[in-house]
Amino acid sequence: VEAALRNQLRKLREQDGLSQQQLGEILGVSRQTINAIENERYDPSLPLAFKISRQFKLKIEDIFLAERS
Amino acid sequence: MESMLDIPNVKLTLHPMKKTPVLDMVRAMRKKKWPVVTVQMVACLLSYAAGMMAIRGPYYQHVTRTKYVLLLLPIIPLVATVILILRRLFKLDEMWRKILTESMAFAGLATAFTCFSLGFVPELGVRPEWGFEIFWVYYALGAAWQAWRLR
Repeated sequence: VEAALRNQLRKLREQDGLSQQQLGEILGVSRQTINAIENERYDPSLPLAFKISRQFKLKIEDIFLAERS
Repeated sequence: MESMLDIPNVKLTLHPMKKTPVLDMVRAMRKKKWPVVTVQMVACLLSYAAGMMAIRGPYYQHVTRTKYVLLLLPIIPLVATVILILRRLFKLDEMWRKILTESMAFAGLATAFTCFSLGFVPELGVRPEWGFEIFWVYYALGAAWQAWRLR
């Protein structure tokens, strides 16, 4: 069974009023990486997922959701 | 005189340059101080070329005792190039690292398959020493494809 990883990153970033570039700089990754994660083309590594969850003060499972397809 | 910008109900729409994965890649490379690495890499490759010329030249044919030591001339710059590439790769952003490592793996496999399959058909004129150039062509194709897929 394949699991597609969905995420709330775009919504959370926009709520905080951050641009992709700014969030990328905070997390130490490129703007393209943030864009690819938001568009669900790239699944972040576990350390990056932890960084994202810490940035938004949420649990990883509140941001990323694995949907069975 | 009233300019176009002051006319009410007229919206000025700017059309920014269309972003492409290749342009993004070039921008990322520029931001990460690629020129320094590029200079180091060019120096390594030039040393490699000089080393190759040295061991292919007439001097090498007459040397007997130091013959095998001279073989290190092209090998050392090549090792330095590989170290440079790996160091640069591990400093990259995780997605770019994935793009470039996967492109290298693809290029390596594709080059091996091309050389193995076409190498058995000498009538096609494919020469074994083209492997290096074939690798870089596959690498560029793989990197462009991956950058487009993850754009």
